[in-house]
Formats: sequence, C-alpha cells, structure tokens
Amino acid sequence: MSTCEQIQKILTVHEQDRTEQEREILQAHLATCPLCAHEEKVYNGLDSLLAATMKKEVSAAGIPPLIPPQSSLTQPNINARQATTWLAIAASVIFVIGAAGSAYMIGNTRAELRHLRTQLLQSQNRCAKLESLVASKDKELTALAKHIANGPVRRVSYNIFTSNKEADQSLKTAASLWGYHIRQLKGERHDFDQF
Amino acid sequence: MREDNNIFQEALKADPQTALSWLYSTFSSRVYRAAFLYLHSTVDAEDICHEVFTTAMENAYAYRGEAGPYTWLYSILRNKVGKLLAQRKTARQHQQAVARKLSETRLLDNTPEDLACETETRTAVQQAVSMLPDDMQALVHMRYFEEFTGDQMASVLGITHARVRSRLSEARALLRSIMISKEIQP
Repeated sequence: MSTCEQIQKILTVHEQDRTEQEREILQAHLATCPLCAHEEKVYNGLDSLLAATMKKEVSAAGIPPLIPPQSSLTQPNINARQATTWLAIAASVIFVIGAAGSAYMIGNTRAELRHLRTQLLQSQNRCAKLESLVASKDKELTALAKHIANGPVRRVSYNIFTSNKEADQSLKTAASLWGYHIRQLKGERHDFDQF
Repeated sequence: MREDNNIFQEALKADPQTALSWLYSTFSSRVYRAAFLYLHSTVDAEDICHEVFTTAMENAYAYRGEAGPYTWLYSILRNKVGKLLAQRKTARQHQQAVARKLSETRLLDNTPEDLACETETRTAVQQAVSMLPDDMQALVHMRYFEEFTGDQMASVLGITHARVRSRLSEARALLRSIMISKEIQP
C-alpha cells in the first residue's frame, strides 16, 4: 500500500510523464484516499489554468489565432534531379560519339583528298607529256604540209605513178594517214582533258 | 515525426529555398506566438522571430533531422530569448515590462466583473510563472502552450527525458505553492 507522501510525489509529475506503474498505483490510492483525490483535482486545475492563461495571453495581445498552412512539404523530386543528371551524361556520350565519328569521317575525307591529289599530279604529268608529243607532231605535220605544198612529193609521186590522177590520189592517201594519226593524238588528249 | 524530419532534411538538400520558404510559412506565426509568451512584447517577439529564421537559414546545412523542424526552430528561439533576457539588466526591469504590457492587453467582450477577475487571475498566473527559474519557465511554456512531448522538450533544452520530468515536476510543485500563497484557486 502506497503512502500519501509517495502519492504526493507522483502527483507533482505531469500526467504525460508518469509511468504505467505510477498510474496504476495512483489509481488504486485515489479510490481510497479523498485527500489525495482532492490534491489530484488541484493539480489538474493547475494544468488547465496554465494552458488557458498562456493561450489567452497570446489572444489578448491581439495576435491572430494559429491557422494551419495550406501548403505541405512533400518529398523532394529526387527523380527529376537524377533524370537531369542522366540527361547530361547522355548528352555528353552523344557528343563524344559524334565528335569521334566526325573525326573519323574527316580523316577518311583527308586520305581520299590526298589520293585524288596524287592522281591529279600523275594525270597532269601525263598531260604535259602528251602535250609535248602533240606539239612535236604538229611541228612535223606543218613541216610535211610545207613540203607537200612545195611540190617535191607531188613530183616524186608523178614520177612513180606517171599520171597526175594517181599522184593526187597517193597524196590524198598520205594526207589522210597523217590526218588520222593527228586525230588519234588529239583524241587521246581530249580524253585526258575529260579525265 | 521521424519521417517528417527526413522529408524536411531531404528537401533542404534538394531545394533549400523551397524548404526554407515552407519552414517560414508553416512555423513563423507559431514561433512568433512562442516568442511573445516569453517576452510579453509584440515588438520584441517580431525581432526574435526574425532572428530565429535568419539563424535557421544560416545554419540550415547543420540540420541533421534528429528533431522535428519546429523543435529545431524552438531550440533556436530558446537560445535567442535566453540571450535577450540576460541582456536585460535586472529581473525587476523585466517584471516592470511584463506588468506594463499586461496592462496594455486588449479587453475582451466580457462583463467588467468577469474581465477584472479573469485579468487578475491571468496576471497572477503569469507572475507566478515569471518567478520560476529560467529552465522551468521554458518547460512550462513548452508543456502547456506548445504541448511538446518529453522527448521534444529534452531535445530543445539539451537534457535527458528524466531531467525534464524531474524539473517540470518541481515547477508544478512550486507553482502550486505560489498560487496557494496568492490565494488563487486552480
């Protein structure tokens, strides 16, 4: 059985801070002791008075009552942040791949360009040789034309064929052979120019 | 409660501006009311409230989620109030200020008799509370106005739950004897 002195000590402890054991002891004692039951009422009254006084003091000072805020703090959108990070990483990867691809393509184009330049140089050399050949043949043709014009060939032809007609025919044949040869040379040059 | 602490802590890391804005919009009026209860002056309460949120913003990085956001703010408030009260030269000056502010409180729509009786009782209770040691006053405010749990009170004052129970118990016994001496019926 608890004494009133022990109960007085428990009564000073705020209701929220009492242990389960203290509550049981208190309940059992208060049922049998009117003095301690009265003391409990005094403490309960004190609690109510303190709470009411403090709340009234605030409202009496003209401070508006507490209104719960409309907005509430929600879990921060971590996924959005992660998505942004992943997006940045993906963009970086795409950029790196793109840059590497571009570098590879540029390298290929450069190699192709070098090859074409080499081909061009070879073709230019060949062109120069052909031009010099054409020039020498042109000179030969001019010289031959002069020679024909001067008549020795005609005379030789006349001597061989003993008739003007045959001499003329042989001259035409010779001229056409030269002409064919020159056309062939010129055609080769034309093909080269086209290339 | 622990979950709320974690949400606030994560929000502070993810988006400090939004988290602190939420903290201010949610708790500013509550902090202001608590400050008023300690200082009995709306001007002082406004100043302290401003200082509390400034300190909270400056030290947001240090929030570890061990206490709830309001308990954290309340502990800052306690420190600020303690410093302010210490700056006041004497307890007498403080009591004079309390008496002056109490006389300026707004009248309620009651009968003159009720009003006089109520004001008298309130003044007597406030004076009784103001006679308690500083840590006991804080415990009384936290329990009866803020309705804090023992753990929250322990967190604010940096003491154990057992110490909270013991000091609040002493405060209640003291208040009871003061009220009996002043012939106030609880």
